[in-house]
Amino acid sequence: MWQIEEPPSGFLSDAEKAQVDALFRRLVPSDPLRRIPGAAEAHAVEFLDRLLAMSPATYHEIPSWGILYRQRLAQLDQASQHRYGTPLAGLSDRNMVEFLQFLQAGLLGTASGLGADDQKRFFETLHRHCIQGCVADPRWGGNRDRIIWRWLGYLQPAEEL
Amino acid sequence: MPRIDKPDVIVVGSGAGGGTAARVLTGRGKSVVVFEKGPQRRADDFLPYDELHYQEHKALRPSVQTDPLIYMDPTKGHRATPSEKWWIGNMVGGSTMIWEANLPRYTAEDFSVLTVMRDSPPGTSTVNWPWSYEEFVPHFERAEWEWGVSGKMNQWPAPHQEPSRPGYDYPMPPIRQHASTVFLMQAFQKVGMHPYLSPRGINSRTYNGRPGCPFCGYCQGYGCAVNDRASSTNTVLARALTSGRCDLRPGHCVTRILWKKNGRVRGVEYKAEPNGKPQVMEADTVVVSIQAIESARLFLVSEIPNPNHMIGRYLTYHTKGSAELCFKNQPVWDEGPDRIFQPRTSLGSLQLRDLYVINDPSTYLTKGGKFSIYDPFTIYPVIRLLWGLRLWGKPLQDRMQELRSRGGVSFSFTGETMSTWDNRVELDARTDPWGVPLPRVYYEHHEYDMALSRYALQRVVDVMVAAGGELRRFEPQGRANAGYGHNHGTLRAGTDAGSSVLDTQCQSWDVKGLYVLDAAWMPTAGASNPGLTTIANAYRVAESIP
Repeated sequence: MWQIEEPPSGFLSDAEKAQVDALFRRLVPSDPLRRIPGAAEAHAVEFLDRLLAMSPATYHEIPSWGILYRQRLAQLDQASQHRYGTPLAGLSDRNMVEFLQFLQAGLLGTASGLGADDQKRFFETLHRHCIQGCVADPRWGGNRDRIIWRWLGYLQPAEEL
Repeated sequence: MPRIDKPDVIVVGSGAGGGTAARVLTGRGKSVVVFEKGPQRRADDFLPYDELHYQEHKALRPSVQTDPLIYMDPTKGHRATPSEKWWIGNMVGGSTMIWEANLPRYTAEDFSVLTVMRDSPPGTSTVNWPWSYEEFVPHFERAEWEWGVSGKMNQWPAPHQEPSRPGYDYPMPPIRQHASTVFLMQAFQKVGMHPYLSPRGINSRTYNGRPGCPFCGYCQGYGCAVNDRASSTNTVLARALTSGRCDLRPGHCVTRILWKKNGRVRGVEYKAEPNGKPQVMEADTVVVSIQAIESARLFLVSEIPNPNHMIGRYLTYHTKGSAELCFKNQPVWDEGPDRIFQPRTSLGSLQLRDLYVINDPSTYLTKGGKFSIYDPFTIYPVIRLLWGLRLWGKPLQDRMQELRSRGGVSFSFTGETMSTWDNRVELDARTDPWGVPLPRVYYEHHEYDMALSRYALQRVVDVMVAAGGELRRFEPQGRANAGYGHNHGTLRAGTDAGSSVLDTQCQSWDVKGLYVLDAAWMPTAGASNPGLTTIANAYRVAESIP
């Protein structure tokens, strides 16, 4: 039987967490009116914070992801400042959607210090981790209280939340 | 388990072909040593089920860092790209430990493709197999009963099902139907097509001491901790081991086949650990069954005589394709008020072979393929489902809303595939942890494959749209293929030593006593999941090995 690694603490700083949170909230958004849960209710940031603190024995890419996030979040923050005059964590919903569209297409421009391919690749990593944080087994720290599973109807009929 | 140092037969690989060979040969009184590169894994190693651990973090897969194949991508100027061998189960039981156990028989059209295609498309080598479907029937039957296949013969008067002799049927009824089954059958029936409940190496009820499937939702890519899904280890290999004539050696990698100048096999060179000293074991018969790319690699490493330069040539991956539709007026499929249908965590239950042979004057396509029909909501666990959509933000939210509330259907195509000389396995300069050169694979789909995939998908999509479906995904086969689970053909079998690597008993023309029982012997790809036909052939050959 395999056992999940329990890192003593998280990997991200509070400022980085706020940045990831802002990105994740637009990747898998919530809709309070239609009662649709998203990355926020799933605590997808906690998932990433714990995952990045795990060792390569859990998965070989984890150390390189840690370095990647540290670097890229700072670069994205810079790009956000440059483009909108606002730090990444403070972007409005509309601007964040636009920002993510640029990142996905590799069109953030040179102010970020990132080439187009680097931008596209980081978007993929971010997107995938966000989805994992929403619907991986809750033992990994996201999908809190199985919230997305319950809403989606995975392993049980769909629940109205 | 006895310790055997001078066996009658050495078997390399403990999966579909190797396990079956060990079972038959020990049953015939021979002593057998089975070498398996991977470890012994048990139910404990597959629990707790977890998509992130097993699929996203690839806990059971060969590492792409140290043990990849090197794909020479034709769409990127043949740039060497390490590619993950996700279909290789490096463990006792091989890939039968992680397969979906989709076990249809190949049909007469697969055995004799030229009766359907009439001629070989330009640039291909399309040949009939040197055996008939009828010759394989007794071996199919034995495979179905010893491995435990659930299903039902001749459900419809439809063509291209698995024809059987009167009175024969699978040892178990089909697994429970998916809630969409009746709807789909009726929709296809309107245009004269007949999906039917697919044969599966999954117990629909207790069989051979193993329980019926509880529909846990973790199938392909996961070990079956319930033990309801057939594998080499819980069927043939278990029998071989109880014979007292089988010595199974997990964690032992065969690095070379040894042969004598007189054209007979001598045995194998192997290592008991990656940095270990090469050791030698001798035997008059060596059976290799480690999947087609790996077998070709081992032949090349062993410098098996190659007078016609065919070793590694005519590699085929099946032509794939998938399409997905949503039925806006259909509430999400569930197990029904009386729980008579599959729960949401199961796959689906139908397959369709009406396009196995295409009789349509509007196209040049003739030999087609098979569809497996799934529920798009439950075909995979949730991470893969949502990641596969490649959506985010509002569009993702809308699609999730649709998936949780509306029923849909997903088609997965397995099509005939053209054999070409250039699709091949060579050796790379890099080595794996055991010091064996990595396989370097050149692969490019033929125009026929791509046209077929597009055509067949469009045919079923048209039927579904007429039944009220809205298309959500349409992904026909592209030109590049970095690797796909069904791999065959690298060591073609045939009647003529000049145009094949193996004889009709799957024995090397040039090294007597050396047999290959993975799908490398298949002269053409056929158009169904190759597992059962591979197993049936292993029974056929192992019965006749002197």
